[in-house]
Amino acid sequence: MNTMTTSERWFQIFNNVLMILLGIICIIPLVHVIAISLSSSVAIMTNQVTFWPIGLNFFSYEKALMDSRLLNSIWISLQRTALGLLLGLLVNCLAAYVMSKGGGRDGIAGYKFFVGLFIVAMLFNGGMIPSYLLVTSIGLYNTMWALVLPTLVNVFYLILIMNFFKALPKELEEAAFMDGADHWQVFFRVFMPLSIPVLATVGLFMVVNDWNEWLSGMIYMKGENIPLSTLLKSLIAVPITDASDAAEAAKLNNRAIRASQVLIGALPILLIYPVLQRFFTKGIVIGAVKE
Amino acid sequence: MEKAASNIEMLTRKRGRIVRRKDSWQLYIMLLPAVILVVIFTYIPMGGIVMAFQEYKPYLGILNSKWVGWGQFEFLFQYPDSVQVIWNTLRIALLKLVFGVISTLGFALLLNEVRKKWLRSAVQTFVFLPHFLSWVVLGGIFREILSPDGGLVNKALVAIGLEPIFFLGNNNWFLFTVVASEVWKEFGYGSIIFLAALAGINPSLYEAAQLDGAGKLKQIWHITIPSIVPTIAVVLTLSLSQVLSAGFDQIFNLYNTLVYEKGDIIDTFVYRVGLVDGNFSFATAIGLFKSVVGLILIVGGYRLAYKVADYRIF
Repeated sequence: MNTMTTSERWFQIFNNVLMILLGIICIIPLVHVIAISLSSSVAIMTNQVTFWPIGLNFFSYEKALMDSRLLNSIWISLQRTALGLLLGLLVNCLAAYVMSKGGGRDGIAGYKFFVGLFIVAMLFNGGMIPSYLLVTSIGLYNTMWALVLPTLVNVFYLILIMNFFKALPKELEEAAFMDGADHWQVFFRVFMPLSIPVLATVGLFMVVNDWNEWLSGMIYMKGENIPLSTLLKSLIAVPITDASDAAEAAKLNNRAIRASQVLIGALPILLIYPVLQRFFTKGIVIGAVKE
Repeated sequence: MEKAASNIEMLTRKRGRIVRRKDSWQLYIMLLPAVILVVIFTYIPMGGIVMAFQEYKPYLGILNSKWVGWGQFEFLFQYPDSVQVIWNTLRIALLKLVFGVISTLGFALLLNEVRKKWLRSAVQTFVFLPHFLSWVVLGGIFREILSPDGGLVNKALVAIGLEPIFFLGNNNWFLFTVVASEVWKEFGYGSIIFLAALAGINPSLYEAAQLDGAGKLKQIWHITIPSIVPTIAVVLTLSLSQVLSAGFDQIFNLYNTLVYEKGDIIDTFVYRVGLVDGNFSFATAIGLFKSVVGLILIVGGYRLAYKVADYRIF
């Protein structure tokens, strides 16, 4: 550090500038769309808006949020995300707890069989059409469960949690077993409280995936049960023409409304992003550590 | 006393069989929900694969539909559209793979050279963000900024004296846009694995090299790169399995009929043929072809990663 040559110093400056530029490139599309969503119709139509709103107003958000379909779809998305998070953590953690015990004295018979079952499920699947036919044939079509259940078990998360469980000190559970605890008590009172970092990481991944997922909403849901991401997908494709009068039509701008719809869809992700960012690097590294 | 006795009992083995804890039955109950879900939603649909060898009619069901053997597959490799789609998928996936690895690795190497801690974490905060936005949202954003009339990018092109480009309506430009936007979305997030590997390099190696008078470039070439070769090998081999999935979410949210010639991929084709046109058997056959090739590549890649870099999941 004390002996930097001139060329190294130039490299440092050049590199820092390049990194800042890359950082800017990654958020500039978002900044531009935010500016569009907050600008006046005239400024957008004459292409004046770049990175700062011109003629600041919230009309496009009002218009977007007046749409009852949008509000309804937000409610559906919140439900599926909450269900996916709670059930997903429970089911994957329970399985990870069992799999972390292995096939020996503390574990289960048929351990190898279950490893195979999960690994094959991770590597291979029936594909889009058989899955679609199954979900519709067992009566899940147009129910919340069609959005939640098919993707609930995630073998990647299961492995991440399992590796974390394996790394926990063995003495803690042994002490609990000595005191007469059974597996359920050890799971809920020892493992879960100690696993907050990995639970937070996996939980945040689940929230992001469930909130962003749109395909199953498109093929399994209809009418009032469509989640937000699916609704956005269909809204973005069609122009908005339902101005109620001439005065509104003058203020109404398709690009602004579309921008605000897109941003409403991204808002929850942007809100949890600071927390997300703190956890995921740590969590991945934790989960990847093996004995 | 009772507990001590049961502990001793646990340790004994009867006729070579493992004697498990008395409450091990609870473990099966804990495992049950995950097993049931995997069986229903992953294994039962695998049985649906027989449709690929039938002329499936919904009113007849899987049991009564006509058996056609390899018929669907023969059609698959003769039908110009499906052959085109397979080539498109390979082209897009390989371009993404090459440019993806180069950009992620290059970014990780350069970010690793940044000495100011605050700058490093600020840059990371920004470049990781696109990964978490869905392609529905990004599709909306890209349609806006790439629009031929008044989109941000075309405005910039016109300002420097170039012709506006119809990025999402011209086949070659669509290919470019798909690869570039994927690189843009993932180079930051993808770099995590390389950054972790770089952080694990012993700093004394660099100190020794500095004493020997090695410059920055020489240090990168002789210490940094060799140290992360195993990581590069793992990333490359594991991403090989993706060559037949070129990114359904992305393409589906960006493409349109104008760019089917180069932009239509296996998954979007399966969606249209199967779920839109109702040709379940043909769509399943294409999907099966994709899954089998993907499986071969992932198992092969995994073995290769194990050989080259001693990488294992379990």
